[in-house]
Amino acid sequence: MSTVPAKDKKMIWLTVAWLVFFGGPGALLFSTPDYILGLPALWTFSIVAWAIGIYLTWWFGYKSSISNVADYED
Amino acid sequence: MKEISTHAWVMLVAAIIYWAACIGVGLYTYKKGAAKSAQDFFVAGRGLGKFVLGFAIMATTLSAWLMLGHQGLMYASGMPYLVYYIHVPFMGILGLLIFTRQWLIGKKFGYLSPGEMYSDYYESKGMRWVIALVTLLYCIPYSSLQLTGAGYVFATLTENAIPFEWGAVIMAVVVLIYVMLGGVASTALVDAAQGVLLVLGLFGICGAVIANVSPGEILTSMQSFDPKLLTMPGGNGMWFWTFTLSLALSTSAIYLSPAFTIWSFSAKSPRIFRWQAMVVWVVLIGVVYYVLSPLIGMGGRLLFPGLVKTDTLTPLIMTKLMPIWVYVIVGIGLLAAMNSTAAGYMITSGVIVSQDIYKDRFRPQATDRETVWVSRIIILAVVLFAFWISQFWKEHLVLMGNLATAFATQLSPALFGILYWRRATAKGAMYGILVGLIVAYLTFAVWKYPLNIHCAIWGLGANLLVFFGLGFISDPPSQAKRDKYDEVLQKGMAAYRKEEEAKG
Repeated sequence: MSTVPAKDKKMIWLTVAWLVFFGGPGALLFSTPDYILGLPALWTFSIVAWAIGIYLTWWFGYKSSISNVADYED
Repeated sequence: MKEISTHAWVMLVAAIIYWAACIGVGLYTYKKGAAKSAQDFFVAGRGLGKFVLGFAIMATTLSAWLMLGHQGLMYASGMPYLVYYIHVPFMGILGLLIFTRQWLIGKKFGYLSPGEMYSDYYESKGMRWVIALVTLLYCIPYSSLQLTGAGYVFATLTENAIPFEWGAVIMAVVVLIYVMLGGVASTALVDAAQGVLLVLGLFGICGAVIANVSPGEILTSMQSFDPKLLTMPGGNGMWFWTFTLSLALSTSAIYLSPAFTIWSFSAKSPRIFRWQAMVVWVVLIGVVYYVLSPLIGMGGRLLFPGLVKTDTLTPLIMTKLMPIWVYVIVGIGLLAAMNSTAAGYMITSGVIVSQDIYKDRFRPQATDRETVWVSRIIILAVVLFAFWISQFWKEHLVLMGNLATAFATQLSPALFGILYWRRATAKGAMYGILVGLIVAYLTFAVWKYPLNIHCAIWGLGANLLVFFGLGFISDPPSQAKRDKYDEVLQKGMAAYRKEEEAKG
């Protein structure tokens, strides 16, 4: 993992935590017939997951070192 | 010809125009030199632009399942199905972590096929065979399912004016023509247009639903639905958190398969991938999944209550609720979804077998012209074999189709080794893949989804144990090889920073 800077490693762990929480056990906390912000709880929960995912995608697309490369002269 | 409705007639004419356009694109790319050299044919001369590649990646990822079975599953499952959609943003991130690095490695080392990259890095000829085996194991059944599915859909949309067998044959011939003419370039161009049609089709389906029952009505009515539809494990009892998470991981892992390595090699610039990830995938397809899909599924419950065969939801919406012009757009979108997925996997099989088996093993002196022709013959053979399977191995086809993505998932650790982990070894990668394939098969066909965890993840778990285990006790690639890869990646990252600083 020598080509992965520390700030990228942090974001990767954050991404793993986001994926596991929102794709798995976190959903149990919102598994209720109630509505939150006008939508069924699991729908709202999923949209929050999507919104965070958009931020993470933006970060890896524009701020990260490991996912951005360019061609260079040898 | 039997008597058919105006809808079916218009659909038939639209399909003929659509097929002619696909063949026209094949001819256009051929005339533009898409088959002049192996690099042109196999990786589109590394020149695919933003729009074409962005939508082509999307179209290869999404099959007609998104328009048919998916909406029916939302109808049957309710809100818990949304938890699985985490794979949409996750794939955006995953794509960024792997596509750009593969692009740079492909360009710097001049790779034309995924097998070349795997065998060169791991310094193992065996890797090429393993990659080819896995590729064929998932590409052939997947292509077969798409082509026969397209035949059924076409027969239904035209009220059986064209029998399904003939529909499947016509579809296969059209795809064969444009893939064989222009290779990856024509596949990408047609896929991009098909991706747009697919998205338009999904908006059309949702539009037909909300024209008849408003989003407000859908939300209000959901309060009186069976509470099972609002809580896990859902109306059909399948969405336990272990299953949502493991299926999301398995779906995402398709990005690590050879079909997407070929897309990575074909890009003009690595910056295309962030546009693809952000705009096309996470935002546009995110809207399709997180907004349109629940409206279609739950709106469908109000419009067509009590459906037992829920995968008939989309055909019902099309035939009962759509004006003719929307019907045609959605119908063509459906055919496009199947064609694009099949084409992506057909060209992958051609590239892999001609470059990694034929040229590497049997004819190292083969010219570009020869390998391009061999690739075309392989693509034809794959389609014929796919048809043979659909006729004579029908009972195994669904099983193989279900296992296809689970098999593709098994390539993940080997690719991770190339891009990130220098301790990875050829033995660990190869034996890991083979063990992963066996475990994925057993946890699907013999003990289905133990503990509600998808078979792809059981396979991946076993694969990773072998990959890391052997990684620590067998020899990694030579130090020179590992240093060279690190150097290329470090220089590529530095070059990007320099470009950004220059921009201010």
